Amino acid sequence: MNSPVPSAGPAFEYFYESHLKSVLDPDDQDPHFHKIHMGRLSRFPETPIQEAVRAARLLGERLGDPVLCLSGGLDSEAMACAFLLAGVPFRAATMAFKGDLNRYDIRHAEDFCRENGITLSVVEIDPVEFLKRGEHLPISRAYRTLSAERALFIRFLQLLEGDPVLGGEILRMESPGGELTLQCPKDRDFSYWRYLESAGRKGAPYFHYYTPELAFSFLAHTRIAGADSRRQNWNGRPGEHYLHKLAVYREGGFQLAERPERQQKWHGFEGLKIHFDLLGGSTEFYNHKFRKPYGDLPLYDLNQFLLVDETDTLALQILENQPPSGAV
Amino acid sequence: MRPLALMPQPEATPDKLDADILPARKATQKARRKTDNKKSLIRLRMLDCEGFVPFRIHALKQIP
Repeated sequence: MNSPVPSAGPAFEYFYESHLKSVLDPDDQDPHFHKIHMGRLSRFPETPIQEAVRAARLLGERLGDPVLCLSGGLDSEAMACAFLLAGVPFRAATMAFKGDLNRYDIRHAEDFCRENGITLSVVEIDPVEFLKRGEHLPISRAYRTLSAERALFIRFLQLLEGDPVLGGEILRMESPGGELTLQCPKDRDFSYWRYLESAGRKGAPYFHYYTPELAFSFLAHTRIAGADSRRQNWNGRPGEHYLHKLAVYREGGFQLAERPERQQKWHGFEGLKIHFDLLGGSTEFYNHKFRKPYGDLPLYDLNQFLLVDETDTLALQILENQPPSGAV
Repeated sequence: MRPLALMPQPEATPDKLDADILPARKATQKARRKTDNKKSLIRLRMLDCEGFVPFRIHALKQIP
């Protein structure tokens, strides 16, 4: 993939005080590694909801027109709860696939907004035509999405007015295969950051990483740091994963409503995949047509590391409370 | 499930898709050739993380 387009707009801190840096090593032309440098913790994190409210206030001070991108999932709903508690004005938007291909997903975002008196902008996209026309390919090349689905989401961002704020996932550890590893955004997930930067737009590509204290707060305060959580392999268990995640957010202080239908959700693109598989007459049709062309996983994708300052005793204390096999 | 060979031909041309991703695939193959032993390379390269403690991020077998 080519390098992303150089920054066209004014410098903007996509993470608080630019604490997070994402670099390919040795460089983006011949990358062997992806490294995420995390900023130092200024203090031991407070509870996740307290840190999230602080992050929402900080973003409210920096963004003129924050637009929360709600997928219908827990992570973005938790982000919206933090903005509500912080009293920061915001708009909300969701990506609706033509033909109701993700209706099962975005209905939860609609329910949440209705319950909380939030106006939700629904941006309709025809994902079938988008993919058939190959429009995902130049976007993938420009921003290293490594998937058609992320390219589709970037198209949604392109159509959205205002300053997009994305939820993303929370920092956690898992060791389903024995080796303890971190679950956090990878280079391909930073494609949204690359898009915002190249378009010169303000926004937040990963709300749950906006401050170092928020990123580490779940490991510091919830069951996600426990051995039971780490041992789980959630592959093929979306219902259990949803309930676990809901419990983690509630432990963190988020008052999230239970939406049982959400247990069937995995990533929100299931309906699109099924549509193409039915067209092609095979359960592998979508993968063959839209995933296989991306080729083998690049080497840097297999070698991704979170780098913590060795003098950041608080962060290391939180991470190294886990079994030591997590450190290389 | 029908075998792929019997399925209707996709509308987007596979040639176009291949042409679009070929440079990326070549770059990856080039990077792989440089790493005779991935594990030893990781250990060696981690020396460049002076001042930082590296934690491995979970690698997926398939891109989601």
